Amino acid sequence: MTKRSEYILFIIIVLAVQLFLLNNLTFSTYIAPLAYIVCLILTPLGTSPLRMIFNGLLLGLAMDITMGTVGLNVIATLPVAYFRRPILHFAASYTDVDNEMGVPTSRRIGRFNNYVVAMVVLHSLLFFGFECMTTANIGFIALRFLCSTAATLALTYLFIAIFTPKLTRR
Amino acid sequence: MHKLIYFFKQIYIPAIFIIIEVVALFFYATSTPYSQSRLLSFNHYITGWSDNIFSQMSGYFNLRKDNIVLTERIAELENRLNAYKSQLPEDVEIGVDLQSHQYITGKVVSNSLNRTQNYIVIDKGLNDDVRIGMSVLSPEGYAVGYITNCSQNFSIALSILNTSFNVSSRLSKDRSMGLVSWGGGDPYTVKFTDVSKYAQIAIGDSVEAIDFSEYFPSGTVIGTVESMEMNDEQTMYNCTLRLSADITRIDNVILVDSRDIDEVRHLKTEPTPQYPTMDDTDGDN
Repeated sequence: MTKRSEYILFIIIVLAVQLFLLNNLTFSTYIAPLAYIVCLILTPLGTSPLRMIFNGLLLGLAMDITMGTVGLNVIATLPVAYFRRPILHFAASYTDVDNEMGVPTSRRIGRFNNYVVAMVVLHSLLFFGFECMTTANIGFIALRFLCSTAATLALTYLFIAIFTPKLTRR
Repeated sequence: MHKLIYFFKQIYIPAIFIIIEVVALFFYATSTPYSQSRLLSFNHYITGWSDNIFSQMSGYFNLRKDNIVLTERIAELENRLNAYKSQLPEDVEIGVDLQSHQYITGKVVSNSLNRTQNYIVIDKGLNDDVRIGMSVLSPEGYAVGYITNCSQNFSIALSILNTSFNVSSRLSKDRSMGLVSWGGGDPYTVKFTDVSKYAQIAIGDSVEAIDFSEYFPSGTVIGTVESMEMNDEQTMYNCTLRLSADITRIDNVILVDSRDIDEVRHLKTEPTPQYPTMDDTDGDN
């Protein structure tokens, strides 16, 4: 299998897990993991900004259509896709984006954890912020944001651990 | 041309991002009544905040003019106070609690002028003891409007430049009464209608609020007579008043809480007392 087909398969598996497992499991009202963001996190480094925007749009649209949320996922995923380059630059001090073609890994990016956490936090912040859009029940919203972000981070690292060796295989 | 192409190459990716994000926001905002109302309230919050910033900026540049107006007003009030004091015995003190009116100053955050239903937003609300029904006056003491709604930190006043605004008024000299209202259009003039044909009106006569006005303290000047004409039936005068307050350039206002007005309003809501009639008396016998 080529790298591209492996990457597409990875996206299909992640979306299927999100759609058929995570969206249907009710852990608690405080936990709503949004693990599909790993698709954007593991997008190859050399991807052009325009393609990143379209990846973000397609991912958001796919989740909106399947989750029945009109635009909420696009609102959250699009800025994550657009600001990936500044996040790599400021959070992970990684500037060699254009010359590198592979999937982001801890070997390629020195502060890989900062990059993953920044991407997940930005996505969760936008998603839960626009989901509630009120400062009433701020305690509940903050707890839901924290628990969901933690769950998303755990699942993101799980996906990275499972798929990164396959996606980076030469 | 090359520069233009270069410019578009520089901005097309952020432009695409912003366009898609705005479209997504639009779809999300219109998807449910809840999201629509939340985004609208957020929009109002942002608009109020930005209006406040611009109002503060323009207020800064008008400080010199405001200072002159306020100094003149203070001098006038000092003169009046001294005149009243000279009429009182020396040992009599008038406490604040005995005053029939309470005054609060406020700053205009936004002021619409181009509609038929114009409103003024003021930066004082329930937290500052502003209440619905309070009079809104210009710094010179001229009529501007009255409060119709309050939030914790802001209040909305129905401007005199609102077609729903009607207030009973009288000529200062002649004391003949009429109705002041705004017909839309010119923001400097209002109508003063239904004035008795026997009234002695002259151009330049001032028109003020009546003693039992529900909206303004007694004697609050509204404007001066600019022109007048008899109605078609030759029974009443219809006048055009030039507003004393320049509402198009108002930055600061005085909010007046009248305790007498509150009492009158309270009385109006009381049920009409039932007095015994002759029939009742006969029945008792």
